[in-house]
Amino acid sequence: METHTEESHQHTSEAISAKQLRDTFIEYVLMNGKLPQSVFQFMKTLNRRESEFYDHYNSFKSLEKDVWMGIFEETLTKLKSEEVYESYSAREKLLSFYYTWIEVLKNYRSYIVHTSKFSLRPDNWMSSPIKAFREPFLTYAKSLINEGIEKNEVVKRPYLSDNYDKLVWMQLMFVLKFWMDDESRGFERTDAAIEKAVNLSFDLMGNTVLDSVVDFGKFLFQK
Amino acid sequence: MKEQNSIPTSKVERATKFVQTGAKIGGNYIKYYAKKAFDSELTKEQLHEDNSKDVYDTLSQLKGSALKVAQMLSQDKNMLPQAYVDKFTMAQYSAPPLSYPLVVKTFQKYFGKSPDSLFDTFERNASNAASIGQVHKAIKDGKVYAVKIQYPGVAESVSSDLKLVKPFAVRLLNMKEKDLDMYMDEVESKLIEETDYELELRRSDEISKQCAHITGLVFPAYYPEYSSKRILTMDWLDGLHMKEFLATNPSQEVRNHIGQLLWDFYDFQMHQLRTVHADPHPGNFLMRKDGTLGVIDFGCVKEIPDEFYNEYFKLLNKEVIADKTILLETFERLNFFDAEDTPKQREIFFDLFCEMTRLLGLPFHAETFDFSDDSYFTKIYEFGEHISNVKEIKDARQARGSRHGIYINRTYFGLYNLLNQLGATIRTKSYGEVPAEA
Repeated sequence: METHTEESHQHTSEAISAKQLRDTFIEYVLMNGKLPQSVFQFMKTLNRRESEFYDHYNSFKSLEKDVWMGIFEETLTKLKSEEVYESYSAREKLLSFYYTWIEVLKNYRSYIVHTSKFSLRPDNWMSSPIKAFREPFLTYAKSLINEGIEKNEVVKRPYLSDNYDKLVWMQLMFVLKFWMDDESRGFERTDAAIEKAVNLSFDLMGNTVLDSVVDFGKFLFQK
Repeated sequence: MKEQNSIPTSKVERATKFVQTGAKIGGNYIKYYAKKAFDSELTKEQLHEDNSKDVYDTLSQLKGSALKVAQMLSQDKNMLPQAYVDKFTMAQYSAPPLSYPLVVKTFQKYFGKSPDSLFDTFERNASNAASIGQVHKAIKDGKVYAVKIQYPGVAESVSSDLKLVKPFAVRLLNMKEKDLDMYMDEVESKLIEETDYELELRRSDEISKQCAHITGLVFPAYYPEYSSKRILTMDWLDGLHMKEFLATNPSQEVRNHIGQLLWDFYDFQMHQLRTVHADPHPGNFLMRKDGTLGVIDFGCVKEIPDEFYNEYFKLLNKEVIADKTILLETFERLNFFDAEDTPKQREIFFDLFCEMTRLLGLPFHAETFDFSDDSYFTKIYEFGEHISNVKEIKDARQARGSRHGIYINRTYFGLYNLLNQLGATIRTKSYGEVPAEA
């Protein structure tokens, strides 16, 4: 049946973009329920040469990482396009980040829920593609926390405050997990979870009763 | 359950008890999530069971005021639904204020626009807490609006929360599960309705139009174009809440006037509309400078079925009360008796219900009634106390009374209370009095 030569099928007119590759990859995974066997086979479904893939990614893994990175960047772009964002407190900025992130994630829900079976498992954690945006997120979280310290929303504490960003990352993973398991309509439970989690964390990072306890304890010991 | 050697008495100890329970429940959640991380098979049922058990343990150790009500009710099944309703009103879902980003998100979800672009100004901080959300003040084209936004997840959690308390309620109240289910269904369906702002908008609109002829009542207009399932927009009404209003020392005349407005409003709904604003909570009324009364929040509305209406309001008819045969029939149809009652039990219950009917119907039996009379309310409480000491009632496990009675009784109790707070004397002539043969 195949009478054309392979060359005639190639879209030689334009180079394929990274986004096209990602979208096709996600579709492939969802339609087939598994990762493509090889880059060659995957590119074949696009009628493209394997080498074009390597112009953007060196493996499926790096592509998967880029999916997460793309979601993160899209979230930030959306956030910064909202006028009101700049006037928010650090707490509100973080809330806003989570809500926007979850909105963006919705477009990828099937993919995320599906791939989570093999890439978000705790035993596979170290090599999970989700870690791709950990560093940039930590930078973002750090900037929020510094802003919070300036505005007196967050209290500097020895050792602890240097690791707040990592705690926020863990919170982000909690939100993700909660959202993946959420069966409520419109993911309303996730909204509530975000609200409560962020309030709790900022209440803890702010001036709390713990500070007074530590202060009092120090006073007693020092006499 | 562990044996209890001493009764915690002081306020501090009581508070500690609650804190302990809080901590335990928190611990249950942590336990749940920790276990869940390793064992995905672990179900929520285990968590719920742990929670309700801890709540029950704590409650049963507290013999103080906290549990007094519940205990009284465990002995008086007829009063149960009332307390049950009060315990599980939407107030228990009161949550910390919604953050502004969440408000924005909610607006975007339903209108595709942020509140700033929908209104000229939109106050970022809530001006009032509503029972399951909060109210923001907004202005557009010089007009002031009150925008009520619901907390996310409330609707979802109603059913699961009620399921969570059920085993505890069954144990504490020593009531047949089937009977409890009947009341739970009624309460659950009302709570779920309260989370549907589209329904609230329709009903507010209907009832306020139908009651518009009662001079002195003010209803806000509602705006469907700015409302959705979780957002409800209405006119901003100025006015004082009951407490603030009383602090201004209004004259007796003004009190009577406001009280009469309340009375007429409820009487008209009960008898003409047969659909009633079933939440006479002080927060839902605004006393205004010009002597008018603002009515807000139609979240909880009870429609009264004819067969219940006819029997229930027969009890206001003096002829019916005087005639034992008709009265018996009426009680029967209102499910006050149980098929398993012995003749002796029937007799005891009959006497009690007669007394209750007489007592609660008292305001209707004269031209005017002075609700400032605290001795009347004391009598009601004493009667409640008396009921709780009757052995036959303690031992009976059946629920008594129709499910429709729950919200109607609650409405009257609420109304009586409001009028008592106001200290108003009311012309209690009623629209409705069902003849004996109806």
